[in-house]
Amino acid sequence: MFDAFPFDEWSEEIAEFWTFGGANSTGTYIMTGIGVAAMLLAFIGFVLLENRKLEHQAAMLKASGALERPAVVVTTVITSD
Amino acid sequence: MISSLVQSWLAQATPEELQEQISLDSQILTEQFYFWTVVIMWLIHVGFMAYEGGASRRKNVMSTAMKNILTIAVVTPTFYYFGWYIYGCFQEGWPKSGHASPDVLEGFCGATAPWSAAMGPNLQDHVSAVFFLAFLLFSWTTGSIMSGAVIERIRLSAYLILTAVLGSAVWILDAAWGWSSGGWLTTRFGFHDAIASLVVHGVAGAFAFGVLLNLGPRIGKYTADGLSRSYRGVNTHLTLMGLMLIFTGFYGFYAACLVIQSTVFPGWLNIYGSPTTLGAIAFVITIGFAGGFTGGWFASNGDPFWTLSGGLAGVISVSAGADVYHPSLSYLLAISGGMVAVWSGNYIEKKLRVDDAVGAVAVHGVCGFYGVLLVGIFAGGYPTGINNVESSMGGQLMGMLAFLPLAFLPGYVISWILKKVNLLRVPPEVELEGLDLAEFGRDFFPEFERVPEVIVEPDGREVEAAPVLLDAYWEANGRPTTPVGTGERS
Repeated sequence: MFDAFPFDEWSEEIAEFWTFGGANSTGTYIMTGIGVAAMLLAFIGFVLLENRKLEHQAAMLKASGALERPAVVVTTVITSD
Repeated sequence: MISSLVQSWLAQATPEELQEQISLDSQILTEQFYFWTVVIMWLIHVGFMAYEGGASRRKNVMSTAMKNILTIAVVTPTFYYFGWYIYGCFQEGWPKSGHASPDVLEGFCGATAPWSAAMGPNLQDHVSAVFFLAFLLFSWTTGSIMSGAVIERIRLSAYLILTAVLGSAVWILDAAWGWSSGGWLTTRFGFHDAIASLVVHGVAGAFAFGVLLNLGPRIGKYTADGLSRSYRGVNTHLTLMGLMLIFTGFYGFYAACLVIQSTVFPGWLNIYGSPTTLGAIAFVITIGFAGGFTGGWFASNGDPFWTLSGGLAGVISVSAGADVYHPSLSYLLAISGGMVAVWSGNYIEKKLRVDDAVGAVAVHGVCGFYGVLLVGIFAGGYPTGINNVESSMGGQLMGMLAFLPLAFLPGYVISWILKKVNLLRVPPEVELEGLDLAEFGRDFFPEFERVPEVIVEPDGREVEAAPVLLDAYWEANGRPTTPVGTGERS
């Protein structure tokens, strides 16, 4: 390698440096667990938030009467015979 | 300046130093290669969004696009935490087939756990992270294939659950079995699906079919006699441009299906470890598009949507054998694939009465299975994988028999459960009004006047949609489902 920079020694030292600890350490296990929990919470959030919006809009539409079937007008003609 | 420095260093370097340098160069070449395939494959998702958005009615465009965007939000973490581990550790199946070759990548299973040294910033590993990312993009693609089929009535959250299962569990398990160097279907039966006709497309199509059976058609899709109506998408030009973007992204997808090994002849391997070249598969994909467009055009009598979808179907039909097919054979097979997509699409819509909004089951599902069948016919005898097991019709059928239930059942069962708890489909009132107003509270085309929505009757007449849709809504008494295959509204 280039002599101007001690790349080899430097790379050995930081090769597996991660925040919260290196690979297969307690820190990475905990971070993975937190990440999985966040992912599951996001799924629950997607379901609940959307359900609230949809139910609200459907209730509003039903209450407005805009989608109701028009009443059928029945006309009875009574004759004198 | 830098060039002269490098030349000066090379002149003084020892053979050991040069060897080390060549090894590092090779790794960095691989790293760059997969990185750029990932960039190109993003276009597939841009394309899916444009394609499906254009095929949606004005009132549903943003909810359709949001599905494509949030696919990335759910498939990425699920694939990172679980999917990649499935690929690394389940290649032999369960119980283990016992047919793995000793040449299978040793230690790969452990390297796929999210806490392993291969899954983070590691200066001594140039390849693992970009290889993972290429597979992640395959997962997005697989999940997105379903998204077009279910537009305009599925709940966003239901779709996200289903696409996470498809993208991070179902497809990657089938890839472990039949699209890896150690997969039991390949090491034992010579199953050959080089560029993922079945493991991506066929599986996604079968999964989507299972979902559609529970989801049911859009309100007003079928007449009381079971005849099919058509909706007018907001922008067919956008749909066609989306397809062209998908095609562009496919070059990245195809390239990423290979393994680069620059220090060994011929430099490229397919996913099974058998030699091939990048040129060979690029040749097949290009002529596959040409054949597919041609087949789609003639089978659909020049319909623009099906002509372009035919191109996709053509490529999918030749992908399984893209590393071995002669270009002329690819052309002919792709023509047939384009035609198969149109015919099967019409059959699914009009005879089975399954409302697949973009023909995904036909294009991806049917042609995905068709593609691996063709390998059994035209590439039988090719020594596949590191055990050199010859490809055969039996091996291909074994793969199809394994993947059909693996894909269909999860799609059907999970969507059935979501349906039972009333979380699969939007309320019919919301579907009539349009999903965008309920989900986002606004119209996304404020500068354009709202014109009455139209619908195309089975006889080709274009009529105002509101009376037709309201009538269908009333007839269904608020329940929007039509039993598949009967044509009668419940």
